[in-house]
Amino acid sequence: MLLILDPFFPYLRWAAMENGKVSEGKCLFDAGWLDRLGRDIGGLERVRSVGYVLYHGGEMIKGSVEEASLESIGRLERCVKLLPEYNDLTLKAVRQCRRILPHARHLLLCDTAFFVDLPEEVSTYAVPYELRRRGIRRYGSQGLVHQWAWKKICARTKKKPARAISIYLGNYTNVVAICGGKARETSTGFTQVEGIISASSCGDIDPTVIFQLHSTGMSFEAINRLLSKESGFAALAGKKTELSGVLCGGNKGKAVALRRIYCYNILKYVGAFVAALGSVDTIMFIGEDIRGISPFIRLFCRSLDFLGLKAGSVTSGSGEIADLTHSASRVNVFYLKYNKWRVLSDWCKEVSK
Amino acid sequence: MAHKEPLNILVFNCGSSSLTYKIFRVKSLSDITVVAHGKAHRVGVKGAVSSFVEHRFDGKSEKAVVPIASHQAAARLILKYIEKESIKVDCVGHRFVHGGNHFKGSVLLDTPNLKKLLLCLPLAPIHNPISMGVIRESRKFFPGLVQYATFDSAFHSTIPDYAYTYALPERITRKFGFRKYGFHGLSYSYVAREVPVFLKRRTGDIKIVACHLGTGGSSVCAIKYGHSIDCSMGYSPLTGLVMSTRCGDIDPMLMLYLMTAYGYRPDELMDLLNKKSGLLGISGFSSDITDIIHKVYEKKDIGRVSLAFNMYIHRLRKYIGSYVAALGGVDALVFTDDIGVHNWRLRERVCGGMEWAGLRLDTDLNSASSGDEIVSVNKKDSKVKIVLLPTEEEFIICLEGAKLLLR
Repeated sequence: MLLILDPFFPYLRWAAMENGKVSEGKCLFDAGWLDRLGRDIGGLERVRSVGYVLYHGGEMIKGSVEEASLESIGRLERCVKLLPEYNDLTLKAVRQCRRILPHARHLLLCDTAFFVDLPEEVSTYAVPYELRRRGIRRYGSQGLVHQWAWKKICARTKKKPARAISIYLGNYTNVVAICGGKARETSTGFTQVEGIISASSCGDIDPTVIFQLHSTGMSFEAINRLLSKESGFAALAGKKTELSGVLCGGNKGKAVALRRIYCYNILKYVGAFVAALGSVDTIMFIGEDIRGISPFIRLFCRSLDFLGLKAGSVTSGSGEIADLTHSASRVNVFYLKYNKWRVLSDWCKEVSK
Repeated sequence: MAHKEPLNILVFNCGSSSLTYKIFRVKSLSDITVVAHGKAHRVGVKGAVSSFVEHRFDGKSEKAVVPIASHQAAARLILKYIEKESIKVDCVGHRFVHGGNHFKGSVLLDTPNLKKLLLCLPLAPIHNPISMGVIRESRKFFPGLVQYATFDSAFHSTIPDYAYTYALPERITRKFGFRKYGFHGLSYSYVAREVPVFLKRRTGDIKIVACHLGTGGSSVCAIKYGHSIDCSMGYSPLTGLVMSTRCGDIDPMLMLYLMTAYGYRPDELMDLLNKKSGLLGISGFSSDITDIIHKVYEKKDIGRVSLAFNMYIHRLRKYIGSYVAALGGVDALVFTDDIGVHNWRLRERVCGGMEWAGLRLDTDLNSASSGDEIVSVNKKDSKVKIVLLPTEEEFIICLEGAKLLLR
């Protein structure tokens, strides 16, 4: 049995997989979590390998998947401060499971590793260089998903796209440029707030805004909450809104405005990354199979007409990967249906190969 | 519209590290000539070359290498020169970059408007205070003269809501006026006016990506059929490209992180991001891209100086790509202002590998261009025209003043 643990502070989300069957759940990370999990999956002794999602590996964890050895746990300890709540949960879970399951295989699945070796001119902010030495840089996010998608396309087309742009459509939408299998750009910055607007965070804004807010007496905590929890879709729609709500929000004022802003955000990053790559041969959309996603992709592709891109529709029952490329298109277009546990278990299998 | 006496308008144009002036003789809106002009260079810049001021008047030119600590000091030097040469001045026009929601068009600087200008100072912490310094100096020098201000924000009033909106709660954006305003509007309105004429195209069917690359501040603007639809600068001139000392785009959460984890005070941090970042912060060598290019091509340095150059180019290319996408294709790429028209190496790096956008630079034309007049430097078969246009912000400022006064 393969067990995957995904920190979701203060919970752990988990999935147990065996012979194609998946059971999943969520447990509070307290003293008794392992006992309860053991009961839920019918005994811990069945677990042969455990995958742990690490959301922020800093510059310490360089492999998307690597053995959680004592040595790598040492490195993991040093990146807890980058994302304290989540990383601390991952670290504690690894330590406890290694003790209780000494014969199982333990794997770290690192979501930022894909971006560790971004070119320096891409990862560096134009602030005094001393800050870069102290870890102020662009870290990227969701490397596990983007890299997975790239591998899937390689397997499907039996060749490696030279210059690809990968667009993850979700509550934390982000865009990545991939050159020959290596990450070349990402819309995510030092944190996930930078980039495209998300369900609750603001995306790219002028940092002078923060200075202005603070000068009127707003506390750091309040500004933090404002930018990361009360902005994005929630602010523009005026209520808590998921991606499906954005895509199928109807044709009234606020809903249309939100959809336009979201679309324009992505479009600008696609244009920027085509320039960063020097051209593009493949565009991949990755998203959960939610209502409204296919019409959105079709509509979005129309705005990429200037690239000579022509896309057909997503047809039902097209499986995990849909090839949307129209015969007259100069750019290949794919849609990959995203399932988190599927992506993570594929990564674990990668090691056992 | 003819005025009895020609009107002499002195125009001051503050760049973040320069102060340009021109004196125009205005007979009518269609009859405007330059009487005298000059520029203070490297005002307040730390670098390899010292600051200087030059003047051209009546067939003579004068250059003085002197330390110029501030824009106010630069204005004083210029005003003394005007006095020495007894050049008639009837009115003084000033460029003011950020009028926020207070100013939608050019205004005469009477007491109420001067008070409102003070409210705008924090909106552009580098530019607005230095313009204010120049306004103070010239009011002191010419206490009786009419003075007016022209705002960069005006040309960008056509940016659509989906491009200018920050995704913050409405109660906040409304209260503070947070949105993208865009800058270098005077320069871009000149581009939108001159480039279609030069290319013999109608304004109504040409899509332009314009790069205003100055010695201090730089930005990119998407101009669709004569109107700005997006600009790399935002609420303040801090965002967008990597600039001489400004950081351009950064993660907004970095501000909070640096304040809470490293204990920076907010004003200290704003100073850091506005005055100690950009090319200067990365290279640790100079805030001047010309110094940096020089060093990179002499292969004297490698490392951080090259990194600063590569970051400058990379960020600029990304914005060009973004705006090509925003416009759905492009007809002309325009380079303007000092760095834009005078650095062929920079343009060569920026335009390389842009065939996907239909852009092919003629490297010979590019390196041979003087940058002193409007010229195109693309290959014949390039779908996109590449145009160098020396900026005439002062002319636009003069025109705005003439419209105010001759009305």
